[in-house]
Amino acid sequence: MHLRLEGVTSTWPGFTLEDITIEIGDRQYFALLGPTGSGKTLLLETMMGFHRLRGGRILADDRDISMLPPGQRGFGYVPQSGVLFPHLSVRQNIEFGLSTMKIDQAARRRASDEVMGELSITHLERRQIQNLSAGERQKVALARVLVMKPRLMLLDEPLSSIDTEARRDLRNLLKRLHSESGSSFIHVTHDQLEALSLADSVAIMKGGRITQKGSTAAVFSNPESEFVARFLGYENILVPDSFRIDGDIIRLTLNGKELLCSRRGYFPEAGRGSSGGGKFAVRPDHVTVSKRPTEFPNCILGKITDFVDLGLLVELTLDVGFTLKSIITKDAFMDNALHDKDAVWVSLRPGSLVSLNG
Amino acid sequence: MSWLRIRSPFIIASTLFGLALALFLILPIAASVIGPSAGLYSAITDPRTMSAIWMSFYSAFLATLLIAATGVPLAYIFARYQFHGKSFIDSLIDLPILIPHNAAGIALLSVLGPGSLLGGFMGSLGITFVDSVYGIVAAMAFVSAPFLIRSAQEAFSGVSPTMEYVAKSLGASDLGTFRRVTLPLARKGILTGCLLAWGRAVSEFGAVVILAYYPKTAPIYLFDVFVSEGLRASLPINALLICLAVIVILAFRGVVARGSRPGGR
Repeated sequence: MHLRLEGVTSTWPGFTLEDITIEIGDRQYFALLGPTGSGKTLLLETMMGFHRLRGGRILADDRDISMLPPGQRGFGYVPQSGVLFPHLSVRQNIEFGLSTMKIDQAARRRASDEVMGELSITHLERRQIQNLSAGERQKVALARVLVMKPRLMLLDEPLSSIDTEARRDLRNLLKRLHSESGSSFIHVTHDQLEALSLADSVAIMKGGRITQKGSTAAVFSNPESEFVARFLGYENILVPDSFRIDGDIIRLTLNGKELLCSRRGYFPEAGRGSSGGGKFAVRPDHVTVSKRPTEFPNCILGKITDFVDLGLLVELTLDVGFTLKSIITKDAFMDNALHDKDAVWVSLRPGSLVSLNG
Repeated sequence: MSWLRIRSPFIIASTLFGLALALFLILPIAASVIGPSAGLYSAITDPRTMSAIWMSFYSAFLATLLIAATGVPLAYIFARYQFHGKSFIDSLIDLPILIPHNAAGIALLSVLGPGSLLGGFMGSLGITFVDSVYGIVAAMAFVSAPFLIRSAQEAFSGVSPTMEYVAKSLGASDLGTFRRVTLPLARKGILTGCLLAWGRAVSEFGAVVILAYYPKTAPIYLFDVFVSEGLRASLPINALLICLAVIVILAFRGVVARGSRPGGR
C-alpha cells in the first residue's frame, strides 16, 4: 500500500500535530523516529483514524481515507506493549478481528492456526494474557493483526520494554514478516539503531512536526539540524570561531585548531560560526584515538580527560583545545594502552564532519 | 514478617485505632443478631415482616436496574469525553449523597407528586408515585444513583482508550467495542457499583417515607414496629434484616470475585 499524508494537522489540549507531509511507498519499511513527547504515537493514531483531522488529508493508494473509520482502512495497528485484551485467551485475541467480519468459526480457526504457526506461538493458544512475557505479548499482538492480512502495518515501539534476546528475535521476525507479507510497515521508535537496522526510509519528529525525512542512510549520514544530529548520536557539535569555503572543502577554525570538512549535505555560506548556520557535527565513533599521529588531515594532539567503560566499548572525553567525545572498542583501548590524562592524537576524517543548517 | 515482631509505634497505633473502629462497627450489629436470635423464627414466619423485606429487596433491585441502564452509559461518557458543563453535571451527581434524605423525598414529591407537571403526566399514563412501588423505586434510585455512577465511571476510566482503539482497528463498531471490550473489562467496578447502589437502596428510609409510606418497605416497617411496639418487638426484625443483608452482600461479592478472574465469564 502506498500511503501519503498531505499537510495533516490535528490538535489536542496542549499539543498540535502540524502540517505533516510524508509518503510511505508500497512495501516500504518506514521508521518514525523522535524523542518521547514528539508526537509519534499521536501521528500513528491519527493515521489509523482515531483522531479527527483539523487540516490536510490521508491518501491510501491515491484514495482519500481521511474520513474512513479505523476498521475500514485496511491497516494493522499494534500499539505499544501490544495491548492485548486481558479478558480473552491468546486464541480469542487473535481471532477478535475475524469475528467482527462474521467469518465462521472453522475458517477463523484455520486462519489463526496458520498465523500462530508462522510466528511460532501455537503453544500459547490457551494461555491467559496475564501469563505471557513481554516478547510473547508482542508476538500475539502481531498475530492478531497479521491474521487480518493488512496492507499496511503500524507498529508503535514494538521492541521497547522487551529483554535483549527477545528483542533480537522480534527484530528478525519483523524483517521476515516485512519481506514475506508484501505489506508496507510504519515503525514508531525513539531508538535510532532500531530504525537504522530495519527501515529503508525515516522521518524525524520534534514537537509535532517532521524535522527531516528521507532514506535512512541519507538522514543518518547527513543530519540537517543540531536537534537531528544530536538525536542520531552526533554527540560532538562544533561551533567554529570562523570558517571559509575552499573549493569542496570547508576550513573551520576552532580555538586555534584548523579542521577540514569535506562538502557533504548542507553547505554553508562563508562567515563566522556563531552568526548562524555555522555548526558542524561528528559522531563519537568517527573520532579515533592513537598514541602516534596519523596521516589524516584532522589529526590533533590532545589528552584524555575522562573515560567510561561501556563493556565492549569505551567512551572517552578528550581535550583538544575544545572537548570531543570518542567511542572506541575496548580492544583498541587496551591495545593502545590508554589511560586517563594520557596525551593522544585525535583524528577526525574530513568526511565524518557534517555541516548543519541550524 | 510476624505481627508480633512489629515494633513500629506507628503500626501499633494504627492497628489499635483500626481495631477500635472495627469494634464500634461490629458490636451493634453482632448484638442485634446474637441477642434476639431466639425471635428470628417468629420474624421469618410473620407475613408482614416478610412482605416488607420482599418489598425492599424487590424495589431496590428495580431501582438498581433503572440506574444501571441509565447510569452506566452516563458514566462511560463522563469517563471518556470532555464537554461543556461536564464539571457542573459532575457535581450534581454527588448531590443526592450530600442532601438530607427526607429533603430528597420532599424534592421528589414536588416533582413527581400528583399536583406537579411530571407527576400529573405520569398519572395520566397510570403511573403514580405517591404510596406506590413506583414511588419507592424513584426514591431509592435518587439516593443510590451516585454510588453506581461513580463506581462505573472509575471502572471505565481504568480501561485504557488504546484497548478500544485496537478493537476498532480490528473492525469492531463503537457498540461492539463497548460490548466486547470496555464492558467486560469494567465489569467488576460496575457490579461493585450495583452492589453499593442496591445496598443503599434497601436501607433507604428518609426519601421513601415521604414519597411512598405504603407499601411498607423493611426500614419503614421496622420504624413502625419500633414506635408502636417498642425496642423488644423490633429486635428480631432488625436481626433478620441484618442477616439477609450480610447473605446478599457475601453472595454478590462471590459473583463479582468470580467474574473478575481472568477468563471468567
